Amino acid sequence: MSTPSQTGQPQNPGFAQDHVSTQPVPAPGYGAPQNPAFGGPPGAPGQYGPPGVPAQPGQPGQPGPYGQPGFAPGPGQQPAFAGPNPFPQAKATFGAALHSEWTKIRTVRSTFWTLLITMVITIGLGVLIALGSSGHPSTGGDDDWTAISMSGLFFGQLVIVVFGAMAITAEYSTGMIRTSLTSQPRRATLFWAKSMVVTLVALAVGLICSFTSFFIATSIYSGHGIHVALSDQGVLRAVFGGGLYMAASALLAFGLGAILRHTAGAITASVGLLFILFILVQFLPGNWRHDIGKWIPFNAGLQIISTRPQDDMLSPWSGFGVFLVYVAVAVIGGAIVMRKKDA
Amino acid sequence: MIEAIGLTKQYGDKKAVDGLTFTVRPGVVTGFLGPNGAGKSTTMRMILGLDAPTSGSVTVNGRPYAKAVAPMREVGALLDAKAIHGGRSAYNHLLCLAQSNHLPARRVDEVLELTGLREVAKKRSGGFSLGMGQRLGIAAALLGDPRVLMFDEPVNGLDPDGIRWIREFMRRLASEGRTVFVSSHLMSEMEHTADHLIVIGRGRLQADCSVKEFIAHNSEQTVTVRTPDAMKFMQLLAGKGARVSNDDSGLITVRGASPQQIGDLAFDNQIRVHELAPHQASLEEAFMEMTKDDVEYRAVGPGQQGPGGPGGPGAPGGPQNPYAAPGQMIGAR
Repeated sequence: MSTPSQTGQPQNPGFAQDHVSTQPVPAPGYGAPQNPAFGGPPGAPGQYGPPGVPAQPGQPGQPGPYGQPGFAPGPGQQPAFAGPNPFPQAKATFGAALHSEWTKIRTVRSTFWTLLITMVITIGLGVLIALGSSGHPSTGGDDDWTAISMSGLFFGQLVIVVFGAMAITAEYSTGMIRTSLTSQPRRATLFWAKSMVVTLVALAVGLICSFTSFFIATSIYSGHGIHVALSDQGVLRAVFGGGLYMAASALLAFGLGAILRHTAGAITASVGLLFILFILVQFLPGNWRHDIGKWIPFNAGLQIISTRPQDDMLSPWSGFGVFLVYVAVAVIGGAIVMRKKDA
Repeated sequence: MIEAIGLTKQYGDKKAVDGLTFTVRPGVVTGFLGPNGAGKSTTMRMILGLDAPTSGSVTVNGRPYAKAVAPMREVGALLDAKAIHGGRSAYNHLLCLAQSNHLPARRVDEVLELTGLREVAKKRSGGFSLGMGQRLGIAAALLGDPRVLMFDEPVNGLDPDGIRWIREFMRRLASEGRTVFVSSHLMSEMEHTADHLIVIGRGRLQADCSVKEFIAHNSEQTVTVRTPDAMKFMQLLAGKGARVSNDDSGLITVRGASPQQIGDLAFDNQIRVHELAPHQASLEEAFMEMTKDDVEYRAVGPGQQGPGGPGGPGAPGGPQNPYAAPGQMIGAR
């Protein structure tokens, strides 16, 4: 009797020798059949296929080599996916991405709530502050009544950054980003479409906030003999700028959200950049505060709502320009992370 | 058609996917099999461009997925049923996806109907059961009426009705000439659904063949024989190198010989056989056998022993990779 180690030697005509050989399946049996009548056609592997393996049309007996589908529906080996194109207009354009992102943003509750709270806080606090200030004007008479009417923006921006951040971080926290990127794998298209929708929605809400605050405040002012009009020097720019500032804040948070991919992280970073930095600067020694203070996002950006030039601050548009640089850094950083990092 | 060439994904110094080359063809359901952590999901994510390959490339219908004019017309994918914003209704979820590819809104109603979700279309998807979430994922995959469908563990969380539904569904999609690529860890499910298999282990391609071929190659067929001359026949079989065992009832179990060989041997020696029954392993058994071989193969190391080496019959598989017939099955190279 042979031992396994002897297999393969000529004096051992056992089964095992053939058994070891790695024949491509379907193997033509183990050696020539001596009695074909008994064993049936040689080399029909799979005739004992497990029950439940469906019959394979076009296959039986055919020595389907590996790498070719053993299942051939119809006569052809690779049937073309037939049928007329039911959606000839289908194309994943930037416009399509905008449309999709608009639907996305308007169909989640967080959008409604964050924007509603933004408006309530911005307009509500703005009106309260206008009420208080107009009753107690400063002695010098140099109050910036336009800026005071929009004081609510200081607080409203804290809420609109939540909107901006969540527009992108919710995609990551829910896993939706994988579905989104499957329907639109061009990440830049998705990213810029989304950022544009976020900016436009935040701009609309920001403008509603700034103009409503301004008009309610001016009607309060007029009761105290204070008259401010949109046509006054710099006022229209300031009120419009209030809306711009809100949109830019949302976009800043959006960019940070794209970088961090985490809702709480993005909101914390945004608030830190806008508010905590502002508070920290107040603790700097005088001349440092003077030199650094005007460059921080909060001080630079909010010059846009000022109608009274302040000599320790940047001018309205250059200040807002500096703010936009911060925003651009965050958004471009977000775009790079979006492009480079696995979703 | 999905074509991967040398697809590799490295995390740190660990290769999650290691030089995968395979083609997923239209007209058949191709099962994607491998133990947990073998790199199935990573591979599927690379096909869709969600993960960037460290090296290698993959194309869908002839081009990288990100270059598709209308991606949803090319591929419908269900990678993760939970990859949805739970606050959005099923309808709106599908609508925003359809819009991203300029697909008509009526298509949303069609796929809702097709997947039986019409009743719950306006409900927030966050409240869906796992099975309904799975259906919603399938609905999204079907939106673009795509030529290629990819499903990652599609039967997870489905009840038996749901499982049968998706099984028949996948087979129908394939019979329409589409490419259907489906991963599962449920071997019995694959056995029922897939025609072709791509098997990976530790990120490497282990087999690329039909289900039948896979089972035939990775499991040893056993044959049970009942004969009044059990002792004599066992000796004869053993003399031919087969491995035999018997139980109390006299039933002989033979490994390493085909029913044909056994029958012929009995005939030649004038032994009466009352029963001769081959037993084919299930896909699951074959899979376990293969992953075991994989470990053995790695323990020995590649290239140490070529074919014809001392890998005796007692060590089927052994160091020599049984799937490594060149151009046929691609083993660990």
